[in-house]
This record gives sequence, C-alpha cells and structure tokens, in this order.
Amino acid sequence: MTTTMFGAGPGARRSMGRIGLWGPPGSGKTTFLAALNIAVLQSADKQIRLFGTDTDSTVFLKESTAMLTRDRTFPDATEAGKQLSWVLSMDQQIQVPTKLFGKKQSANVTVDLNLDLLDEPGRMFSDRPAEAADKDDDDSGLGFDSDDDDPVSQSPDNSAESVMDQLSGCNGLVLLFDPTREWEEGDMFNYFQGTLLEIAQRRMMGRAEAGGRLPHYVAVCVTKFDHPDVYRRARRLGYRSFSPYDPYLFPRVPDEFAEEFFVSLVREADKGNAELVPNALRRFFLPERIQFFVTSAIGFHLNKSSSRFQEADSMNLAPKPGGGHLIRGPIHPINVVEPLIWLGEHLAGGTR
Amino acid sequence: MRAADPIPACPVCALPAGAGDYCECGWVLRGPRRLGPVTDAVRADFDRRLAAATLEFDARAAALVSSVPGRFARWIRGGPPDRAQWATARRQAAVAADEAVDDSTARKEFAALLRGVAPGGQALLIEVVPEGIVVTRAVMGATGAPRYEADQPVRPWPDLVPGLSAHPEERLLQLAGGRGRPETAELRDRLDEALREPAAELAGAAAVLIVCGPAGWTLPEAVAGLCAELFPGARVLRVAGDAAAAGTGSIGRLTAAMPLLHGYGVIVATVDPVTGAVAAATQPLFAPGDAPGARASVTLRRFPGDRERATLAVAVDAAWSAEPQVVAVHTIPQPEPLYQVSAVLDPSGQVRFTEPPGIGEDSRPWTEVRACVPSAVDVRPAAVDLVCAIDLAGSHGQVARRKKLVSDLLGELAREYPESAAPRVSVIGCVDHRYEPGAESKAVVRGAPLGALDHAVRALAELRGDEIRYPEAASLEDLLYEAHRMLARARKAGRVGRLLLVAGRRPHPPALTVSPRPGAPLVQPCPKRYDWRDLTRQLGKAGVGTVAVADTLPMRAAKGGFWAETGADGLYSLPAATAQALGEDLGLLVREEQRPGLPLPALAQRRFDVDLRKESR
Repeated sequence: MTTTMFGAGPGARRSMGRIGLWGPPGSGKTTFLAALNIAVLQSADKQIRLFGTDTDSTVFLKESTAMLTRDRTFPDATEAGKQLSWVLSMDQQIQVPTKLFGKKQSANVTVDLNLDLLDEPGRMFSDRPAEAADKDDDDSGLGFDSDDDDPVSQSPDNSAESVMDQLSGCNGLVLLFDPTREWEEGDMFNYFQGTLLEIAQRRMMGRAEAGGRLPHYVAVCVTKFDHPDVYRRARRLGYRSFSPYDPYLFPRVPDEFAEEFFVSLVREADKGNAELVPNALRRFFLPERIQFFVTSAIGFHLNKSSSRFQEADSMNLAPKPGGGHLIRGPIHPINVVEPLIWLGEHLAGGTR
Repeated sequence: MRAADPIPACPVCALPAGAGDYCECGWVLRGPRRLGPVTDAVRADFDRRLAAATLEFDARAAALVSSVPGRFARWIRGGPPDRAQWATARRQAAVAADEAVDDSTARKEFAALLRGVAPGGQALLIEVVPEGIVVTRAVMGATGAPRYEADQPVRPWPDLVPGLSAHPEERLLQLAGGRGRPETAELRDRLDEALREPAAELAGAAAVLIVCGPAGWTLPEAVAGLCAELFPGARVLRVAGDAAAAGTGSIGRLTAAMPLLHGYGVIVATVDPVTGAVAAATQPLFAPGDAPGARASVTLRRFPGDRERATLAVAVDAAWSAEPQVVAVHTIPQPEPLYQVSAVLDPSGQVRFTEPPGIGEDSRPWTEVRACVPSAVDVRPAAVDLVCAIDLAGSHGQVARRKKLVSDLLGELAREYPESAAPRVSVIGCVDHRYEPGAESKAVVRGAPLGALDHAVRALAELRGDEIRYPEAASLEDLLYEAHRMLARARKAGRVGRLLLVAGRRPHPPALTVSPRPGAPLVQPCPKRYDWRDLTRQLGKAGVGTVAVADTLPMRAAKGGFWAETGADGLYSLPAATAQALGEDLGLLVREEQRPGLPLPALAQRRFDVDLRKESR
C-alpha cells in the first residue's frame, strides 16, 4: 500500500492506495466510471472531487460524462489495457494520535484516493481467457450498459499478466456483478474465480497476510438496479427502501441487505454458480473488508411532471432507431460514489 | 176455362193498366164517358193527344240519357221534339234526377261506409248503372284498407230484362224510361236470382251501399229499389249521371275512382342501430285521399354494398305490426346509392311505376320476399361516426400500404353512401413517442376530426409517415384515446361509433410492466399514461365496434392481447385485408349473405361539420 502523509491538521492531505475495478464483460465498468463524475457532483453530504491525473484520464472523464449527459449514450467499450488514473479527493474526519502513545483525536483531512482504475476489457478476468475471447458481446436485451466487449487486440497473455499484477497490487477492489448477465450467461463465477486465484497467487505466495487472507478491501457492486427486472425483484423480495432525505425518493437497497439481495438474484439464474461468490470472497478476504452495494450508473427515470420517482415510469432507457439504446433523461447514479467513499474511509482509517 | 185476356197496358209508358183512372205516367186511362159516336174528329183528337204524350214521355227519357237533342230522335215516338218540347223534356229530366248526388259525394259516402267496417269485415257495393248491375265486395284488411274483389261478374240488362231492345241506343232510352219498360214482378225474380249469392254470403252483417245512376232513369231506379228490399238497411245513393258519358262504360266507376282511405308506402327495411334487427316499414308514397291519376315520388337508398336488384313492394301505409298489406310487388335496379321512384295511382288502388326504367313485376309473392329478409344484419346504415386510426411510423412503403387500405375503404364508402347519409369520418395517425428530454410531452397524434367523407380523404392524403423511433411499440394508445374522445358519446347522440385501427406494432403500456421471467422485452409506458386496454373496454361499453389490421398478425393474437381486444369485430393482417371486408366488419357495408333485398329509407340527415372542440367539452 502506498500512503503519503502530509500532516494531520486542517489542510492536511493523505494519499491513499489504489483501487482496481474488476468485473466480467457487460457488468458496467465503463459506465460505472463515467457515472462516477456525475455521482461525485451530485453527492451532497461529502466534499468530494474527482479529477484526472493524466490527459487520458481527464479526456475520458470529459467525454464519458458528455456522452451520458449530452449524447444520452453509453461510453464506448473499454479499450484494451487502457490505464486511467484519477484522484478522488474527499474531506475525511480521521482519528490521529496527538503525540506518541497519546490519545487519538479527530482531525479533518483531505484524503486523496488514487483511482488507478484498471478498466480492462472484462474477458481479461475470465478463468478461460482464450475461450472467453471467442464469445461475442453482451446483450442484455435492453442495452443496459453493454461495454467491455471489444475483442482483445493485444496479446491476451501479456495483457492478462499485467492486469493481474496491477489488480493484486491494489489496496481496494471494486467488484462489479451484473445480475442480468448472470441470468443470461451464468458466467459470473467463472470470471470471478479466475481472477481471484490470480490475485491470491501473487499476494499470498510466500507472504504472511493478516488472518491468512488477502488484505484488500472489496466493494462488491451489484449493478443495474435500474433495470426493471432487478428493481422488481428488490420490491417483491422486500429489499427496496426509500431514503427520507432523498427529494426524489429514488428506491435503494440498504447496504446491509445488499449481499442477501445479491444471493437472491443470482439464485434465479438457470445456470452458473454465482451464489458461491460471497463464500469465496470470505475465504480469500477478511469478512469485515467486504461490503456489498446495489448500484445503478444511470439511475431511474424522473418524470418531470411528478418530480418524484414513479415506479410505473421508471425505466431510464429507450430503444434507439437503428439499434442500441439511448438514455431517456437525466441520470441519477445510485450507490456509485458510495463504494469509493467506503473504500476511502477504510483505507484512510489505516486498518490494514 | 177461357185463357186469361192480356192485361191492357198504358199506350204511353206500356205499364199494365191498373184499376185507376190514370197511369203512373199521367196518361188518362179511363176518362168520363163521352156521348155520341166516335167520330173521326174524336179519334184524331185522341191520336193527337196520345202522340203528344208519347213524344213528351220519350223526349223526357232521351233528355235523361243525353243533352244532345237529336241523339235519340229516331227512337222517339212522334218524331224529334221541337225546341219547346225538348226544353220541357230537359226540365222534366232535371226534376226526375233531383236530389241526386255527384260522384264525389258518392265516394265520400262510400268511404264513410267503409270506415264503419271492422277489419276482416265485408261491405257490398251494388252499382246499378246503364250497363247492368255489378256487385263489388270490399274486404276490409287488418290495416283498415279495403281490398276490392273486382272479379265480380256484371249482370247486363239484356240478361235481366229480356224484352229490352237489342239496339244499345234504344235500350238506353228504355232504361231511362222511354218506349215502355218491363214488368216489375219479372224483374224482381231475375234480380233476386242475380243477388242471391252475394246476399247469402253477406248474411246481413255487412254494410251495403246501393248506387243508382244516372239518377232519374226509370229502370235503374226501380232495380235499386228492389235491391234495397233485398238488403234491409242498405243505403241507396242516386248519383247524377254524366249525360255525355252515359252509355260509354261506367261499370265499377265508383270503386275505380275511390280515393285511398289510407296512404300507400314503399316497403323499406329499417335497421336498429344498436341490435341490427331488421324491420319492415313504409316510406310514404301516396297519401290518404289521393285519387286515381295521382302521381307521387319517393326517394330510396340501397343498402351500402348491395348493388343487386331490390324488391319494390307497395303496402298500405298504416301502423301495421305484423304483415303489411301489400298491393304491389316489383323489383328495381339500384345503380346509384340514392334513387327516386315515381308512380301513378291507377283506378282501383293499383300502383303503376313510371320511373326509373327497369322496374319489373316480381314473380314472388310478398310472403316469399319477406321470408328472405334476415332478422338482423351487421351493417348499420344509420348515422355512423368512423375513426380511421393509422400508425404512421415505419418504412415509406409500409405506411403507404396502411394508408392505401384506409383510402380504399373511404373510396368504397363514397361510392356506397349518398352524401346526405355518409358516415362522419375522422382520419388520424400517430408517430412514435420520443423518450428524450423535452420530447415526451409532444403530441404524437395528427389528422382531422370527424367530418365529411371528402374532408377525411383529403386529411388522409396529408398524413405523412415518420421513421420508427421506438421499435418495441407505437403510440396506439394515443390513437385510442383520441378515438374514444370522438366516439364515446356517439350512441347518446343517436349515432353509431366505429373504429378502424391499422398499425404495425403493439401500444405502449400505461405503466412499466415487468414479466416474472427475467429478460423479457420491456416497453416504456405511455408518457401520458393512456391505458389501451381501459380505452378499448370503454369503447366497447360505448358500443363502438372496432376492427384492427396489423402489419403482421402474431400467432397469439387470436387468443388474446392487444390485437384480439382491439380487433373484437374484425382482425386482419395487412396483406389479407380488403376494403370490402373491413367495411362489412365495421358495419358500413352489408354482407352478401345478409342482403335484405329491400331498399332503405332515404332519411335526410343534418349536416355534420361539427367542431370537435365543441363536442369534446
């Protein structure tokens, strides 16, 4: 982990570790990143800023935000091996010792979370990259955030090695699961376990990690909550809730129930073994470092006539003439920035 | 025993001399005895007085028959009368015909008599006229209109009175009272024989009218009197004769010239706008009181879509509830949606059609015609409001095919409906909803409100297609909403509402619906939350018939869902749909198997260029 200390008083800055983005094709990685900027700006209760550390990242931030808001389209699929590096800067209140062996006290610091996000094509994470590369795109039928589908132009082996190295070196992981893909393809576990084993090999061989487990913080994001099939199940199974502080009353699934909801979703799949994922995570990561989130990059449609979420008219996608889909209206990301905040809080807390 | 001496007769009128001193004609049969021998002078005086009396007697009869002085000169004993004698004869003839009624009064009396006859009852008209005696039976129909049995035989005078002259002119003079007359007893016997049969049939229960004419003629008046004795209670009418026409054929003149007690009407079919039940009614042709020679016209309609010949039946125009009393059955060509029929009322209530050409008698009786009329039809030829709703999104060719189908239907309606009875038609089309910021609230329905057929044709031509912007669904629910707005109150306004929907895709749901099966297609809800199912049901409740045409018909369409519900009265795929089939399912054109074969009444309809904005308030 790389932690840079710039003091502990007002105006102090801390640079926390790296976050890796991990998910199978079509899980919404690119859109997640593109929506992050908007989510950051919409975040009311935190002083958060997001900016690129290089030109590519800044350009990506500009373009992907423009595509979502102006063009109402999804960002293009991830280019293979593209390295994006942002800084998520947030004001954090942390506990710091006033003197050696003295009592700790609260201090406001600005925490910079280096998002050297490894937005790699999803099939990089497959347990069978060569076979997976033959598979074509992800099509959920509604065009919900179909990214990560470009053929891998680089050498799969070299690229995979590089990505796995970087992932294993991250301090935190954002693991994206698309339940709609699991219903159709049932390949989530395959992508998951291949990568997990690669990371374990790199971090655990010859090292003594705390608790015998990998040290990463893992934010598991169940994506596409705005998809009617996903939302309907949240409502039907009783996981839906509303925040009284949300003026739009967008539905959410509380984080404490996100894992249960994830399991209930993947159980509906006719094939695949995604329900093994939670157990596999606990075997390899410390349970207290795992948190599930139910997220949506574009959020639900907000009807201007009502100014509140309306279940009957909640889909924020519409078919595009000639194929594909368009985002129907303004996007309202749900739980996009929160996983990163959670990671930032825990990484800044130094609980590694 | 000595054979009976012949009874002496009056030398003037030839009646048997009675016991009195004077004959009925005024001749002195037994005067006071004269003293002295019968001298030539006395004989000459007697002859002169007898000649004057016979001339006066015959001249009076001749004046009764004809106003032309010399017409019967050769038959008048004593030669043609001079001017003074003829004038005297005319005066005497006028006295004899005094208190006679004219034909018009006689018809009124007869009509009054007939009105007193109950339906099913009979009346007897005995006409004693110069040709003889004719008995006409009038059978009162259920509707109160008499039917004359005109085939009653005429009893000519020579059969009744063998002693009459064989010469028609001399016989007329004899009938009027000239040159002697037959003995009454013999005449009574023959008359009794002639009228025995009708008298027995009537059994005294029917009304009897005895018409004697011309009034003043001695023999007919005598016979009329005898008839009155045979039918106690019979009313006797003495009708003034037309002197110029006498002897030229007046048998059955009264019945022939009788005005109609009830009017006549052409039998038309009416269709209940709600149930489609077919009933027969009459479209007035002749009015009560119309006399023979009257002319009348009636405007009729053919059933939309029926270009075959129709039965043109004329019936007594009355409030009949069962079978009409039909007086004529013809067939008529129907080349035009609206046509006029002209007719002349002939004697004895016969109807003769004069226009249009091509009318011919129908060999079938009315009962057979009636049996072919269906009890109910699908067509509603009454006031119809039709909304043609078209999905305008799609390729140019596909939209053109949808419009062509509607255009064909409107063309067919224009050919089958007269302008005054044409449906009110609205043509509307929809483009796709656009689920984009600021575009969702934009109207997607365009077109023209209910109006005249030609306006609808123009509106259809002006509808332009658009690209498909939402492949999964079309804005059909918006079309249904507009159609409902225009048609929901049609029934209360006495009109029939119909909807034709021609589209390619299903509508948007009112709310986002999610299938229990993950991955099922999802369709955005209508931005205005219109509910196609609710609108379809409301249209059904309002009695609006709906026919749907889909570009391609899903297999499941027959079982349920949007197409089945909106196509409740007819469901077609676009390639299989024809204007004729759509018109039949919409109740705008009659089905071939439901052709009533009768014309429709041509009821004038009010103009209907109604401002929809007013209607929607």
